[in-house]
Amino acid sequence: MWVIRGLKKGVLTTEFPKKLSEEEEKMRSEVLVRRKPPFKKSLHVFFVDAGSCNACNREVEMLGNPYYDFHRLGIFFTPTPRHADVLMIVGCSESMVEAVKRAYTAMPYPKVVVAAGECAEKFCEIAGIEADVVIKGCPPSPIALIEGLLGRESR
Amino acid sequence: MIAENVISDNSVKNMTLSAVFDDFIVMTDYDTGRVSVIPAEEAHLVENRPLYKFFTGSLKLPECDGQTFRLHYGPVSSGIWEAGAFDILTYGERILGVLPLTHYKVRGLEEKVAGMHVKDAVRLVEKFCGTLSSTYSTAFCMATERATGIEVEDDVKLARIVAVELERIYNHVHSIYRLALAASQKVAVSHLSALEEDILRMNFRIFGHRYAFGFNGVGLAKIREKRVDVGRIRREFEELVDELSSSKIFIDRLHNTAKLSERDVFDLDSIGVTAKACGVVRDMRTFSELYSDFDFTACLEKDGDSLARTVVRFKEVIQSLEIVEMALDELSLSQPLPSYSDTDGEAMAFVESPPGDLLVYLKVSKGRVEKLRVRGASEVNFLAFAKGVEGNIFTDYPFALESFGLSFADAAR
Repeated sequence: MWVIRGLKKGVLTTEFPKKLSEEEEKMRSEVLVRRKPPFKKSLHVFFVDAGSCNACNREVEMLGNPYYDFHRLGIFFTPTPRHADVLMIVGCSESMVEAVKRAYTAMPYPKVVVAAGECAEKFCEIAGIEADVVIKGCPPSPIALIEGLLGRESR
Repeated sequence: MIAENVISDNSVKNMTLSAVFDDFIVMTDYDTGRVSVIPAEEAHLVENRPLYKFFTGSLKLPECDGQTFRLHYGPVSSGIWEAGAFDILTYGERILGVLPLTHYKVRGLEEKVAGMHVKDAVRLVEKFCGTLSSTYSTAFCMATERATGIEVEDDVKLARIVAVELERIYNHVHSIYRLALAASQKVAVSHLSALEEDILRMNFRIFGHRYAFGFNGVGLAKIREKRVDVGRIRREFEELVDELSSSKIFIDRLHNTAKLSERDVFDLDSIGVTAKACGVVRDMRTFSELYSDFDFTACLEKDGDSLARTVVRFKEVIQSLEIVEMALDELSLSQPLPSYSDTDGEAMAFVESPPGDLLVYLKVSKGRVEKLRVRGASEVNFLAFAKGVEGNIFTDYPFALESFGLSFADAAR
């Protein structure tokens, strides 16, 4: 019966990055691109929680739901930093500095750091890691997260 | 004096250990809702309880004996999981013992709040745990109002109920989603995560924020909109529950996983969904002044395994949706003004968060926070998880963990 349920529901996915609905526009937060990511094809992202309040984690998890479906844009999470193009950091706790630095060192070049959320920007300063893309918002909206990962600057 | 003092062995025996703070210990009687306090020097009354040892950090895993292996899992792991770790003692595939390590999440927030004006402190307290923000801000505001003697209007109470219950709904849906994900039920996962997004968007329409940040204040609660389609969420959720309950693969993975008995609940002082799944009523909504107008009875199950906890969640989501619908009906969109008082005082407040009750102790002087201590539900139930997963094998691990609905941000600040 799942099939019928799915058909009944229709397509929920956003048309972003082509177009944004009014509601998505309202929820969207700002993105700051300091250095444009040098990637043209699919992206493999290693997610690391540096001591967040869990809201950012939840928003990143929400990227996979049918509304955003980030796989359609060629973005995937990878379980190891060795396979990652992008290090996505959320949260800020000093006890995580060492762990995040190790994950960063384990990544191959070229590598990009995305600081998602207000705390993560602060964390990058503490840890001495330069953030290439900063996604504002507390927590950043899923649309802004996709925008940041694609390396596009919002208006 | 925040609560009655107890110092006799006999009266403590039937009470549940709720929190160990630096200068006192909080005990709760879940039959009557009575809260008591033990002074720190009388700690010997509860020092044999596993939860006391867990709180004070003296609970340790047994040493490896040559046949067993000790694994440190976390704080950076695959998937979108929080910064927390587990020490796991294993014998081959079997898990012999687990010790959750929450110190990676320590952000020193309780110290940061000290000295802040209560008005600004609310904004920080709701970020202690973002996915439980309404419960945190409600508990903090209730403690402030009690400490300084501020009366709140009925509309404020109703708005807080809407926020706390919506939070329960999306967190329960999320737990079910994580369980379905662990069981590779890909279609169900899509439906459940879409439903969670619907609820978050509903939160945005009602409170102006997906996680209801900024809606709560001392003596006030702001609501933007009350015309939302709760009925559609309910219909969709009921259909999904029907489909999931008829999936043998899903049910098989949950049945008999991380089983706890009624005795365990009393021994480990477990609360919330964990206790309710073992047939023990431990729900602060039964006594809460917030819910006095609602005829509230806790949802119970008997078996105490992951399946029972999931069934409690199924029931609670429906119950919470009913409460939200009723509260939104009665609510008017009036905007009360914030009220502050410079009175000194101290108070405690319990609010039922999705995994169990949240306890906030607050001392204010001249409108500023002098001392804030928080005990999240996950802090208590991580111990229940550690006990429940003993004897299970590694492939059961996610089904055990997700069924408790715990969060490291709730367990450490």
